[in-house]
Amino acid sequence: MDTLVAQYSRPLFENEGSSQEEQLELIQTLPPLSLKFALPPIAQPSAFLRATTDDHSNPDCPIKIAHGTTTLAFRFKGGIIVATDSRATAGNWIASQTVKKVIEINNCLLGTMAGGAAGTMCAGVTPQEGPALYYIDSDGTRLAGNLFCVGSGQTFAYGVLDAEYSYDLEDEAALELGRRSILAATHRDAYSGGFINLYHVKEDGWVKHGFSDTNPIFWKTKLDKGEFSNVTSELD
Amino acid sequence: MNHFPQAWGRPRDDIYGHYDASFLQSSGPNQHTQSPVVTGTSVIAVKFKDGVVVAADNLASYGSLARFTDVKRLRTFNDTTVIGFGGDVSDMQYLDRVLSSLDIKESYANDGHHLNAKNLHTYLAKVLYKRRSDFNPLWNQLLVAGTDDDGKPFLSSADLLGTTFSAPTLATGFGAHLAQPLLRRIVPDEAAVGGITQEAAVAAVKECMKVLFYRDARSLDKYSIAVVTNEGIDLKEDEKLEAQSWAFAEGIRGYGTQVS
Amino acid sequence: MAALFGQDALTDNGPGYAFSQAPSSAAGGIRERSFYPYTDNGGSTLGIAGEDFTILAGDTRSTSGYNINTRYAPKVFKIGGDDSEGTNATIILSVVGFAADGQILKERLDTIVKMYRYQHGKPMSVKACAQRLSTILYGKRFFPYYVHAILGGLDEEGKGALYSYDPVGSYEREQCRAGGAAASLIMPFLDNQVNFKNQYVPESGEGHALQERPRVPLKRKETEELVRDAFTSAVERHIEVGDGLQMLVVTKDGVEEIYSPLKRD
Repeated sequence: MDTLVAQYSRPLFENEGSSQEEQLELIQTLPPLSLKFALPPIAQPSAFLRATTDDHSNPDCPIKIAHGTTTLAFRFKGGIIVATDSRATAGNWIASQTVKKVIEINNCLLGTMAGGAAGTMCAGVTPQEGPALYYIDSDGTRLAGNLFCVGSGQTFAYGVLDAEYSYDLEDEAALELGRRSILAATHRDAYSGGFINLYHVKEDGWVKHGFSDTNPIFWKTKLDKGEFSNVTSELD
Repeated sequence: MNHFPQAWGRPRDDIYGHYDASFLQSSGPNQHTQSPVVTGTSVIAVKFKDGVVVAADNLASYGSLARFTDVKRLRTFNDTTVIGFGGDVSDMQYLDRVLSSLDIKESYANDGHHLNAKNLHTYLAKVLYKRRSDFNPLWNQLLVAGTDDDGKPFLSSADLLGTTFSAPTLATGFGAHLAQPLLRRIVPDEAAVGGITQEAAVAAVKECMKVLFYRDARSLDKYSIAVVTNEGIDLKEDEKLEAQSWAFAEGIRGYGTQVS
Repeated sequence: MAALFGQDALTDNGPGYAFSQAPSSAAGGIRERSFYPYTDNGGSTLGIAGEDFTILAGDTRSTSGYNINTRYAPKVFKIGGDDSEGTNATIILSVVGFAADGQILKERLDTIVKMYRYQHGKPMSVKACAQRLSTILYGKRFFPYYVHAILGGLDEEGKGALYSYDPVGSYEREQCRAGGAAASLIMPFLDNQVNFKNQYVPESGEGHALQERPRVPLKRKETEELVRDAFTSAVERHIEVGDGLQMLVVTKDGVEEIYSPLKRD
């Protein structure tokens, strides 16, 4: 009864627009510490989100979120190698060729990211664990392991990595293997490409080994080492 | 999450259910409040050197039925602003009550400050945007006419999604197709507004109402027209279309029984 | 043959997976609501960062389907100025996509940057503002703002800074970025003219031995001309782009606004 009275005894305009609380939220200079998501006020927000953003099910969906990627990380005797491509795609559109998919969390912890949601890897050294590597994804999967490839180009990267991987690799050989695996993925997966981002996590922290354009690396690999022989190098 | 390369990172049907494209469509089974029922058609407006002329016919349609023929779709506020409503009539009447309650609150303050057309437009746009964000839209397209903070002519639009835009000539609904090109010929840009007299603006708007009546099957020959300037509002709610000529109808072929 | 390369090539004769590979549509059933809360108002935006300046530009046409709503609806805004006009602002933002979302996003960011100065007694840096804009967008991850935002300003060293965003807040600092309806027309042009992609030093060799043309920072005047060329070309080939070109240029002296007409057909 009280709510009924309240509803009809206050001026109509007070029922419209944002509440005081909602307006205060809008002027917070600092983002809330616990993530507070705005949800569409319908029974199945996830179905609405999917309808508007899942460009695989519906290539004409109105909002296209950047997806598609290749990232990899593996443990070996010299620490951990982390390598990624740098392409972001929205449908068939290449949204960016210069994405930094490796997140430098601190001087001995790295994260990788893949896609608008979905899979990440965490690589780092801790006094307790030594060099440690985990795969995590948006479903809540968490796996510890020695070797992971993630993303639309994962299969191509696994192909090279599994063939050549050994725990006893030297540093230089391990870096080259990481680079070569991403190169294979950028070559065969249309949703991967751009630059190869390479990191080496060592006992005393990580070292960056460049953000290098794939194109010259590809031609170097082909012409100097004779790989990718299915690709012609003749211009005429 | 799907791990196959083709659909990597996308949602999986067995977890999230089927892809439901119906969220993207605006047809199919739905609640009545989610689509307009009794509707008003176009509202048209044009700026001139001292103010704005707004017009809308007096018809409220129920689908193709001309249901109510004396519905006033122009509302004044404060003797400074005219708001023209297109779209759902019940939502228009609700907004009318909201505006009246707002008017009372503002009058109580008695601080010598009055909401002008620009302020009202901002307010209405916020109300409409909030409602669309709650998935409970007020199914209207509005034109707000009056003067701004500097006393210059103000004309702006707001719709059920909260989209706003301003131009020297505006028209909602069918008018956006039929009247807007005619009005733009007279007032092509903001610079041209200063050269338009009140008489020229009124004549142009009346001519547009006539064209709309000829071709918009949901329109009426009775309409309301308002002229808003810094001197106040001149609102006429019972105008009749004059000097109609249906001679052109004879030349039309290809519809109904006349095929050649 | 087409089926072989189709996105669900595995559906018909692939291995027997435990779950269906191909996405399928709902079999009907009553939906809760039919109201679709978005629309696309067309238009295009573009940003280029230079050595000591940043330019953000956008056309001023607003559309609904094939209709032109207005020929002057700005898409580039000053953020965090002294007043509602943006006097003394040092940060600029462009939004393109659903105009109502864009307007709200701009007002939210503007308010936050103003509150920051009020609470801290100093202007917000572009870097901080860029991060904050990302969290605003990500806060609506499940009901996104349907906009492509680009943020511009000068970094701590006085160099041009440009950040571009996807609708849910993923962002990156870049040299140049085109957004909106004609992004796919303008972006390749920018890759070539700003980052000198696929440009080589003449007579530096044959085939694979060709040397890439070294990148040099652009001058302000030539950047403005580049922006104008990008838009006049986009107007020729995209129906949702035209009417006017609005440019905001940030330098150490503040924000300068330049307007020039575009074709109105």
